[in-house]
Amino acid sequence: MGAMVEVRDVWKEYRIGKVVVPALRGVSLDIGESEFVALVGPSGSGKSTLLYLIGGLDRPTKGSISVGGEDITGLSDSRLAMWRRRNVGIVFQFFHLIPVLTAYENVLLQAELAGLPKKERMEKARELLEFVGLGDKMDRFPSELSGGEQQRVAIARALAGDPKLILADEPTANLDYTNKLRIVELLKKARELGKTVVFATHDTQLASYADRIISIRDGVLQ
Amino acid sequence: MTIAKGGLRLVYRRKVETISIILLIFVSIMSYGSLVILAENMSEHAYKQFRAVIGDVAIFGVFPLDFVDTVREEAGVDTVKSYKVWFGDIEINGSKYAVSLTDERYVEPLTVFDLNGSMPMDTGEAVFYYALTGPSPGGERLLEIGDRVEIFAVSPDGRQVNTTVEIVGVARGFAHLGGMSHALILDKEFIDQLVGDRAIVIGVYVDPDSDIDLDRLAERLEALVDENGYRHFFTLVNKKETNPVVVLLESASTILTIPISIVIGLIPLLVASAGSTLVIREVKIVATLKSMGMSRAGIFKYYSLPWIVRGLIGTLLGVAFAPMAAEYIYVNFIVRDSEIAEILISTLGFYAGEDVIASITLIVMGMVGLGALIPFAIASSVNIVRSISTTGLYSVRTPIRLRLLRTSINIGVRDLFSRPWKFVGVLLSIVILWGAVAALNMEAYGLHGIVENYRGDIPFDTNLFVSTTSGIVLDDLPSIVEEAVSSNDNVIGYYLIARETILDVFGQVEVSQIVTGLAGDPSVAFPLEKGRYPRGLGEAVISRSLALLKGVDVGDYLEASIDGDIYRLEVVGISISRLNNGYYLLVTPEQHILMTDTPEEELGRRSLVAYLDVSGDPEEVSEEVKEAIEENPLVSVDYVTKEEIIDNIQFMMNFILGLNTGIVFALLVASLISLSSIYSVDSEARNKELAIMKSLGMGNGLIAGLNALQLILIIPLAAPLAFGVGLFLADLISRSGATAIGYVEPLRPVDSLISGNILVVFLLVLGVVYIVNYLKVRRLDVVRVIQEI
Repeated sequence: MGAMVEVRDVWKEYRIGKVVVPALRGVSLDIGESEFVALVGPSGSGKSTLLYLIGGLDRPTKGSISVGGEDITGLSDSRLAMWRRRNVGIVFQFFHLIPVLTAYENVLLQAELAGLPKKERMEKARELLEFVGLGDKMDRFPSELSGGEQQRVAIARALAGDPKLILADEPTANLDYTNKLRIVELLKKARELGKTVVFATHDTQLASYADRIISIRDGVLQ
Repeated sequence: MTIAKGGLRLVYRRKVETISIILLIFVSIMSYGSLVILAENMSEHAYKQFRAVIGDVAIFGVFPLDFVDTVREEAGVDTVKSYKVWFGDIEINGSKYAVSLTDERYVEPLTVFDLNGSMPMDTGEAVFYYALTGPSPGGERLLEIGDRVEIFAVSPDGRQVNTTVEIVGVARGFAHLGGMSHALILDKEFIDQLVGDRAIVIGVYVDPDSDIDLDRLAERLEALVDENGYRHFFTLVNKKETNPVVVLLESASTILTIPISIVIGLIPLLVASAGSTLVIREVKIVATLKSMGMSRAGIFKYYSLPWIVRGLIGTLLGVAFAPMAAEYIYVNFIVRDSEIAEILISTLGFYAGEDVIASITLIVMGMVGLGALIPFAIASSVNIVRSISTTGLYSVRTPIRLRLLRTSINIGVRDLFSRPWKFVGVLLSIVILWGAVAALNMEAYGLHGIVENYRGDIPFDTNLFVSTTSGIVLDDLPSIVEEAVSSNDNVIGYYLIARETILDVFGQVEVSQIVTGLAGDPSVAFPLEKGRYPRGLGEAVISRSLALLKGVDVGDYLEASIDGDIYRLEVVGISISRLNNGYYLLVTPEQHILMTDTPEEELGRRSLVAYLDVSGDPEEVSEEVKEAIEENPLVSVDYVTKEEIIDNIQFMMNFILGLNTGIVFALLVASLISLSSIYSVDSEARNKELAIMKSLGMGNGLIAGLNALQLILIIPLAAPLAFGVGLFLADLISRSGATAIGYVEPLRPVDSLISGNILVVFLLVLGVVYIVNYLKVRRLDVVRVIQEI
């Protein structure tokens, strides 16, 4: 099993006023293809930062990150945007669906950006919403869905571009227990579809569902 | 107190909103305020110059000097000035010119500036004076120092005077001495000999603080003249509100101030749009404040007070600079001679527009307050429980289910139509800009139409102004002119008219002409669009411009008011000819005599105008006819060809179009500020949504393009509104400017809405909105924004 994600001596520092705050300090790790990994740590430990660096939403202060064999640290903003369309699907803690698009259109948008042909992307959006159990609520706007439903749409959206890597940042933090389990089950199912899934959580019980648990504290892997 | 502090802190911390609203208000007040202050000063200066020469009431006639003392004794009269000014002809290179003849006593420091040479020292010397502005041929320098010129005049008691003088000085100024654009300032002894112991002008001054009715005073003075049987030419009541120059300037200035004033309409829009967007973005903070027990007053302090403070800063800056800008324009663009401008300002002062500033401040602050009520109303209606329990992106009301080709495009479309205040702000900004530019285009087409009208549809090629020396009655004047005209082989057609110029006949405080035909074909000068020429009493032909302004057609009745008498006239024909500003009544001689009180035996015997349709060069034919008429030593002729009239109209048109370009620029700047600010604040309010779009792989250009697309989508909705606004504004501008330049018919409204300059303006707006959005999205810190709760 080759490495899907290679993180090498990554440092990330934030400047808050005149103070430099280190978020990650020399993190190195490998994540294999089709692995289901839980990134655990307390609040402020740097797990979200690491996730966003792997997803190409931010750049490390130092070090390198490769995804699927491609070094993404040197890519320009526009190249990174293009790269994200097909290579990574991200699920956020607060769902973050586009409020003016329906559930179906939120999923369709990602497929459209990934460049899938029209017929194929329409089929895919429907299939994915069926997959997450929302086949009957496709035409609802986010404001007309519950939190759990919104997060399931977010998972469907993350899968719509057919990426190899799914990143989920505290995907269950705002959900009740039943919905938490449902989301984790969906992420596991995504792994069964051949995706590499990395999810950040501070809930050790949920982390136990993963193949591998990576702990992080004060920006350093434990 | 704490919440008010927090609100005031927003003024500093939210720089985009602060700078935008301050800039918009500054631009509005600077452009509008400076133009109004400028017009006020021009009017005030014109009025004061008039008053310095003729006083509050002036009677023109031939009066014995002791009559001046009689006038001085009249109740309400404070002081009296009397002048000896007479009229004659001068001959230069074989051509005669009518001039006024006066001496140094008539010359006020306010009327004559910039004297080169010296005042006359003996009867053989004269200063040549010409007015810098005014009716043609004002501003013409006919003589130089050292020239010798022959004067022809007939004294008030009928003596013919013919003498030669040497020009020892050339002077210029704004006044029309004796009502004429050219004058000779002669030695006092010469004028005393010519006029005798008589006064020609008696200027009456009343105490400026008294509430004397000047019209009543004028009536009493006229009655006094009549009682004594003195010769009376006319009376002039110099009230600021009816002074023709003042009224003309004020009317002309509205052509500029109306389009600019609508910029002020953008102020509440920007405040409402940006303010409400901010409230929606901060809905959780609003809910938290309300949950803490914050009162409506507290919410007002936090969400409305900052706008009022910003408005106040912009207003203070605007009112501080507007008078300076007005003075700069006055000196450099209106007077154009810094020396003369300095004399005018030091003598007459420069009104800083305190009243104007007070009104603008009240209006603008009212507008800001009105706009600030919208974010307050939205913040007041926030549902605490729903807002606090909502997570993720801020919510909008359920969006419309409008579908376009691509999902990404749907985001832009639905966003625009789902948020009412952004939609209204963007729509109205576009409508106001589009409508105003379209209105200015309609006016430009209208002015162009006047030129085309003159060039193509009005037959006359030249018009000759024929007058007798010193205004004596010459019985055979019409036959002399008709003989000269009809015997010239190059004259195809002609129309001779007598005309009387009267103020405020149609209630516009306008300058009107009562015209009647003496000989020839009326269609040479007044071709009809419809109807027929007048045949009897109570009938008149009017211009299309006047018909449009008054909303009358053939068969309708129009009321004309002269010296308190009302004449009800049936409109029997409408002519395409404008004749100056288009205010005229072409009537029968009987009607003319009735309305103007002209003795029948004097009609067209002191002066007349000949319109000629000629073959060949109009200039040459005019010269030939002039020469033939001037064979009579007591007649002088001046002429203006149609091409010169067209040149004058085109000059005015170019001037107005030039100013319009400036106005379009000011409107564009204001709209750009408004739209940039709306989109800038909107980007901040939607920053999470934009961050998510970026995280999904949408590029900065695509996201910025979606916002620019909203402007394109709004075009079909804005077009009918802009069309209506354009028509309304164009008509308003035409009506307001009618006193100055006549009613200019707004033309080609559809073309005006889609003309080249609108395309350029729109592309500029589109480009700026795209760039503003692009920069905002590019600078968006995706991770920070997504992690914000």
